Amino acid sequence: MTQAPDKRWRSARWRSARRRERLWQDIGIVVWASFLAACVETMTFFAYFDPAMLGLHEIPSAWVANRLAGYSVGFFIFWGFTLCAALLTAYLINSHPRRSRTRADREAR
Amino acid sequence: MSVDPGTAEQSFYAPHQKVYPREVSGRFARLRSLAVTVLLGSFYLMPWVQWSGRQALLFDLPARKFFVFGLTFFPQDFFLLTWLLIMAALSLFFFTALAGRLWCGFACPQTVWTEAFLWMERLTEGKRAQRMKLDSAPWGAAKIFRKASKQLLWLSFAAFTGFTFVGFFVPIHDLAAGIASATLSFWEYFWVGFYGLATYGNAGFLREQVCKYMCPYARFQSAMFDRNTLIISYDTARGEPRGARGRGVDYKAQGLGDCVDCTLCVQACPTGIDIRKGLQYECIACAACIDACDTVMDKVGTPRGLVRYSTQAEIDGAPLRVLRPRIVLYACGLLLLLAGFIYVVSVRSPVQLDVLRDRNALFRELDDERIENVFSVRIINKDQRPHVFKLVAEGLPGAQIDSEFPTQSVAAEDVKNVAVRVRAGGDDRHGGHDFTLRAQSVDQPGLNASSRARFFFEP
Ligand code: SF4
Ligand code: SF4
Repeated sequence: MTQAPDKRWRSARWRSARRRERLWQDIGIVVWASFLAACVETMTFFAYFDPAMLGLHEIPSAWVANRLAGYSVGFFIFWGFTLCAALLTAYLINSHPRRSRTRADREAR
Repeated sequence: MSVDPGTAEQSFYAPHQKVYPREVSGRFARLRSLAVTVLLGSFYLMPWVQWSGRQALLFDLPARKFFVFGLTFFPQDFFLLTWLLIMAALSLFFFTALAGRLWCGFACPQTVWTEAFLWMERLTEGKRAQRMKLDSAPWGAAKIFRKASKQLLWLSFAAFTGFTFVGFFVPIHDLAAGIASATLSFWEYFWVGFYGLATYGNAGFLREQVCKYMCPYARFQSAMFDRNTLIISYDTARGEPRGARGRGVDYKAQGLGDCVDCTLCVQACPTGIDIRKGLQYECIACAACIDACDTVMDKVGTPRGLVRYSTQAEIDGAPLRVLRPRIVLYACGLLLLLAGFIYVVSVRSPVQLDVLRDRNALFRELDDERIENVFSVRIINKDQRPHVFKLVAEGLPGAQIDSEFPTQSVAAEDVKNVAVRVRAGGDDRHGGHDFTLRAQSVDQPGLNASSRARFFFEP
């Protein structure tokens, strides 16, 4: 059962299942890599800025009702940005014409 | 993502197959149990350890103070954390070059928590064969009961893990009391849940896929490998050709090698690979296959070590060299960094001064034609007792300091923010002048801290 499936079985259904799985893996990578970057950003940022001080002017104070809320909101803002960057990177790499052509070639074979 | 194996036909449609690692016993399994017990034990117990009247290890984020046994750190000590991270990275290099993915098999949180979750899975769903049978069986009372008890165990363990994790950042006694009385803040609940769910997902479901698709270390570890790095390998020369054999038959005469092709090493592998195909990047060097194979070798009466720790050099018949230039280099770098770290921490000044210019006005002209600049000064007292400080401006002739109080008392391990007005005669001076602001302890002469700042006269 653990043997590689026979080529015959690599039907359209198999391939679409595999594509779906690849997509989930890619999403996982994007989310995870951006999460790591956001962690580092949050740590560095809040080492220098105290959310209790930031709350006074620029940011609506309800967001930073206490420091923990400040860190948390800050973390998700950072994660939002890193997620965008990671998504864009993944999209540009994946949709690069040269790459998608080789992939299409491979799949056609 | 993982699919029920169902019938063989179905599983062909699913590219990813769920791995059911077989339970093994042996030297390395015992070693891993030991590592798991020690590591998880210290994780879950550490927040409860007290040290001179408070939590020994507490990165108190709400208070922005970090207690590490007797020492107190502040966000201003951030570079020390960076330093520690660099040391951690270098030790990873060192251990990888020396012994391969030792980290992965025995110390990585991913492995350690997966092991704990697997243990709960075995408790509720039984051994490998039983788990596989259970998964392919139709839903019934027994299956529901087993699956539900597994989920219950997993979820409560995960919740406790999340709680413990947050307990490193918020005093754990407060946290426990807050949970008991349901008075935690939203974000405290949130992070308990977040970390708990991450543990649940990673150790319960994703497992080897974290190592295969998400872990950066797994991808670049080969760059730290060389011919003398310990790897887990199958002795092809000895094992092949593999094949089943009858009892009491001289298999050597039949031309067979030592591998009886029982596939136990494959069943034991948590990443679902066959070590007999050679070193693969999925291999986390957990040594489960060694234990599995050794058990078989003992049973059939051939010497152990068909699958074993070895090095590329050993496989090729070259002598083993442990002391290689890169090992020595990594070790020296590590020792230097460690010595530097200890030195920096031990000579750390107990007071620190941060000076920030007031954001609103550059300068102000007073009635007596002197110029005033406002600074917000942060006095950080890392000492375990309170101190009283007097602020003086140096290097700016005729400067006077005016503040609400002539001296500033700062409690032990505390930070005090004061607004300070510095005044100086503006006669013929223009533009910016650098000067030093010094906090001089009144109660302990010799204890002081200073910081550079810039004073602005009229342009
Ligand atoms: S591959 Fe990565 S996640 Fe997996 S055990 Fe090794 S270090 Fe941990
Ligand atoms: S091949 Fe062996 S050492 Fe490598 S992951 Fe599988 S069981 Fe562990």
